[in-house]
Amino acid sequence: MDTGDWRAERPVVNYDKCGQCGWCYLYCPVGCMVEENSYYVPNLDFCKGCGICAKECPSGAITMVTEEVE
Amino acid sequence: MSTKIEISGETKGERRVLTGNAAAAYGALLARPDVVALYPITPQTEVVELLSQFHANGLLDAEMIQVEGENSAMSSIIAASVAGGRVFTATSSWGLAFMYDAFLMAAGTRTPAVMVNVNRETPGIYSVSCSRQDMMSVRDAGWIQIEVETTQEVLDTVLMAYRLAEDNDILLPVMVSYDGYYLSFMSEDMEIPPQEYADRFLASLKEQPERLKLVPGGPLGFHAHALLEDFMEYRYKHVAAMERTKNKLVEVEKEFEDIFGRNYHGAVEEYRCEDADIVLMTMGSSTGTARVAVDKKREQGIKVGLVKLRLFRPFPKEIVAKVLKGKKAVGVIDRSVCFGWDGGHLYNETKAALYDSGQNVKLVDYITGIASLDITIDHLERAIDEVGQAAKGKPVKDVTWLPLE
Amino acid sequence: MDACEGRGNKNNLGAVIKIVGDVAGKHSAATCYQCSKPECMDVCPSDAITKSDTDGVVRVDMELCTGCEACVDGCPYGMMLFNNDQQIATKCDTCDGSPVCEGACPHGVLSFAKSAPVRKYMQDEDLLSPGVAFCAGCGLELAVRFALKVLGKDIVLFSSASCSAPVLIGTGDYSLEKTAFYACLMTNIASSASGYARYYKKIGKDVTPVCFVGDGNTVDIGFQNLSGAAERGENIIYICYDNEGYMNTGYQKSSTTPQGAWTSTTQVGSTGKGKSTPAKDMPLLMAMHDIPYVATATLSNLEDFAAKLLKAKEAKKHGLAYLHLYTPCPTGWKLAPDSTIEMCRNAVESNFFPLWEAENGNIRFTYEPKEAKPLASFIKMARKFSHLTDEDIQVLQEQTEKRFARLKKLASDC
Repeated sequence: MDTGDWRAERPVVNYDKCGQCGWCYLYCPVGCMVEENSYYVPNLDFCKGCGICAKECPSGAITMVTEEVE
Repeated sequence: MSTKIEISGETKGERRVLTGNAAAAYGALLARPDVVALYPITPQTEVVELLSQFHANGLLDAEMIQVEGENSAMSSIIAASVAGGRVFTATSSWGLAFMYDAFLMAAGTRTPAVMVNVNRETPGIYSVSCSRQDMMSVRDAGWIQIEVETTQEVLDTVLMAYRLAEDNDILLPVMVSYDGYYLSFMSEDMEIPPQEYADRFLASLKEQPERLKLVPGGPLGFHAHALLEDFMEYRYKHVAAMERTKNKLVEVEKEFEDIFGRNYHGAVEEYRCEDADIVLMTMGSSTGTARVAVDKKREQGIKVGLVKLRLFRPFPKEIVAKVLKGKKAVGVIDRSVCFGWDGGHLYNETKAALYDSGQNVKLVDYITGIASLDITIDHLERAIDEVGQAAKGKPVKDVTWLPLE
Repeated sequence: MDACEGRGNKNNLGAVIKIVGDVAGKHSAATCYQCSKPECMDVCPSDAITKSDTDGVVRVDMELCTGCEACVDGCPYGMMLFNNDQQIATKCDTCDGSPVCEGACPHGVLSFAKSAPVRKYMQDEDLLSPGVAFCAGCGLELAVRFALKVLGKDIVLFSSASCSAPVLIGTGDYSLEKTAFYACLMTNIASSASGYARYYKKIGKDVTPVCFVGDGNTVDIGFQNLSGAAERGENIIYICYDNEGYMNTGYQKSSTTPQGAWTSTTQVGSTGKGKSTPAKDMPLLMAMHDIPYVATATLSNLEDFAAKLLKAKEAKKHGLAYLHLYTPCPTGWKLAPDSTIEMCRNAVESNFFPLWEAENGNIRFTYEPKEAKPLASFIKMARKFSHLTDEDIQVLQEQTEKRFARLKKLASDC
C-alpha cells in the first residue's frame, strides 16, 4: 500500500542544518527514512506526513510543508 | 472423590477393573502425547489426576501444563499441536463452555487435538449431574464426536481418536465423550493393552508426509484472516474432511481389530436388529441398560432390536437410514434437550436422516436421563411397549419426557 | 552556562552554550548544531576547523586559529563564539561526549541523546513491510518496527484482534512481516504461546515466542491467561503496548485508560465526565508475580527500550518476561500526530509512566527525572483530556505521585 497517498504535509529537509544525528530515522514510525550519501531522505511513497521527524529533529532541519494539488 | 489406582509400571497389557476416567487416562498415556493440559472439573477430574500421577512416576514423558482454566487448556494444546506435537486434554460441560472459542478455533484451523469430554449438564440450571447436553451444545463446532458405552471402549476410542485426528486425510480434532457418573466413576473389568500394541497401531501416522507446522525463521502464519471465497473454501474442505471420516472410521476400526482383537462396528452398532420390527436407538452408557431391556422383551417374544449410535459427528446418516430401513417404529432415547425443536437431538437428526433417504419410519422420542435421572430397565421396557403400539398404528406421543410424563 | 564555563577547559574560553528566547516567549538553551556541512569550516582561511569522522563534532584547533572571526560571521545560527581575551574562536565540542551542561541543569531540560547506541541494538533489515495501515504518527507502528529490529527474525509472534491485527495477522496468503506469526483469539494469546513453548521444551529446541498485545487484551479479557502463564513460568516474552484503550475498534475504554479520559464508552456530556475510575497499574501487577523480568519502556527512550528487549530475551529462559510499553495513539487520544514521541517524553518526565525494571520482583528505576514535570503542563496535548478541570487534573496528579512513591518504596526495599 502506498501510504504516501495519505498525507496532507510532507517533510522537507534542510541538509545544511542537518547534523546527521539519525534521530529522524529512528523515530519515523513508518521507517521511511532512507540512507543516501550519509544523509536521510524520506521515501515519499510511504511517508504518512505525521511530522514526528520535524518535531524531533534536534537541529530543526526538517519542516513540514503542505502538499499542494498539482 | 479420588480414585486410588495402582500404577504397576510399564503398561504390559493386563486385565484390570477400572473406572471410565482411569480408562481415559490410560488411553492417553498409551498414545504417548507430547503436551497435556490439566484442569479439574467434576466428573472428569480423575483423568487429569491420574495423568499427573503417571508423569510424577516417570511413566508419562510429556510437558504437563496445569492451566488456570479450560480456555487455556484448549488454547495451549492447539498451539502445541501446531508446533508439531501430539496433545491431550479432558473436560466436561462447564469447562467445555468456557473453552468454546478455542474449541471452535481447533476445528476451524484443522488442528488434530484429542480431548475426552465427560458428559454433564451444561450451565443454565446449576447442576453437577449427567446428561449429554454438553456434547450436543457444541455439535456445530466442527469437531469429530464419538460417544462410547463401556470403560474398555473409552480407552480404545481414545487411541482410535489419534489415529483419526492425525490422519492427513482428516486432520480434525476428535472429542471422545462418555457419560459422567455412569461411566466416569463406574468400574468395569477391562484390558489395558500393551504399549507395543498402541505404538504399532499409531505407527502408520509417522509414515505419512509430515503435516505442516509453524516454525520460526520466515514468513509463515497460522490462523490468518480469511474472507469471501477463501473462507468458503476452508469451510468446504472442512466439511469434506468430516464426510471422509465416516469411511475412515471403518478403516481405523479394522486396523484396530487386527492388533487389539476388538471392534466397535464403526459408526453404528446393530444389536438383534435383523428380524426386528421395532428398535430402540441409544448412545453411550445407557446402551448397556438397553441391551438388557431388549433381551428381556425378546424372551417375551417381542421382535425388538437395538441401534447404538457411536459416531455422532459427522452424523452417519446413510448408515442410520440403512439400518432403520423397513422398521415399523423406532424409539429414540435422548439424553439431551434440543431447544427450539420438539424432542432431543438424536431424534431430530435421525428424522432428518430418514427424510433424506425417503423412508417413512415412525419415530418416538424419549427425553430421559437428564440431570442424573437414571435410565432404568423399566423405563426402556415402557418405551419398547409404546414403540410397539406405534408400530401397530396406535396413537403414541411423538415426544415423552421420562419419567415426568 | 556556569557549568559550561567552568568545564575544566584548560584554556578558559568561556561558555559556549546560549540561552535563547523562543517563539512562545519561553526560554531555551542552544549550542552548535554540529552541522554536516559546516559553514564555519568552509570560510575558515586557516583550516583550523574540522568535523570529526568518529563523533561528528566540529572542533576548532586553537593552534591554527588566527582570530579572524570569519567563522563567527559565517555561522548562520550564531553558535560560533569568540573569546576576546585570547582572540580565539570557541564553540561547543560536546565536552567530547559527556556535556557538563546536561547534568548541570537543575530542571533536567537538557539531554544529550546519542543515536548510535540505539543503532547498535538494531539489525539493518526492516522486518515489517513498508506502507502498512497504521495511522500517521502511530506509536504502535514505531514500537513494532523497532522491537522486530532488535529481536530479530527468528521470533514467533503471537497476537490477536487489536490495532496490530490488520497488519500483523496475514490475510489469505500474504503476510506483512517477515517473522512467523500465530494469530490468536483475544482470550488466549499467553496460553497459546505457552503451549507452543512447551512443545519446543519437550523436543529440546530453543524458540522465542513473543506475544505482542494491546492493553485491552492484556489487562482485561486476556488477563487471566497471562497471569496463569506468568505463574507457571512459561518461557515466553510478553510485550503489552499500552495505548490506553481498545483503539482498533474505535477507542473504547480499557483498564489502563486513565481516570477522566474521554473514550467512546466513557463519553463526555452533560452528565458524562469520561472514565470514572483509575487505571490498573499493570506492570506492577506483573512484578508481583515475581517473574524473572518485568519492565516499563517507551518510545522517547529507545536505548532503554532496546536494552530491556534484550534483557527480556535472556530472562525468558527462566520464565515469563513482561514488557509494558507506553504507546500513544494520536487518533484515539486526539493528539497531534507529530507529538507521539513528545507525549512519551512527557509521560516519563512527569512520572506518569516511570521507567523501571524488576528482576524476580526486585524493582529498580532505569531513569528518574530530576524534577517531575507537572501533568497540568502537558496533559491536554491529548485532547481526550480537554474537558478535565483543574481538580480533575489534580486527581490524576495525586494518583501519579502516589504510584511513584509506592514504586520508590518498593524499589528501596529491594
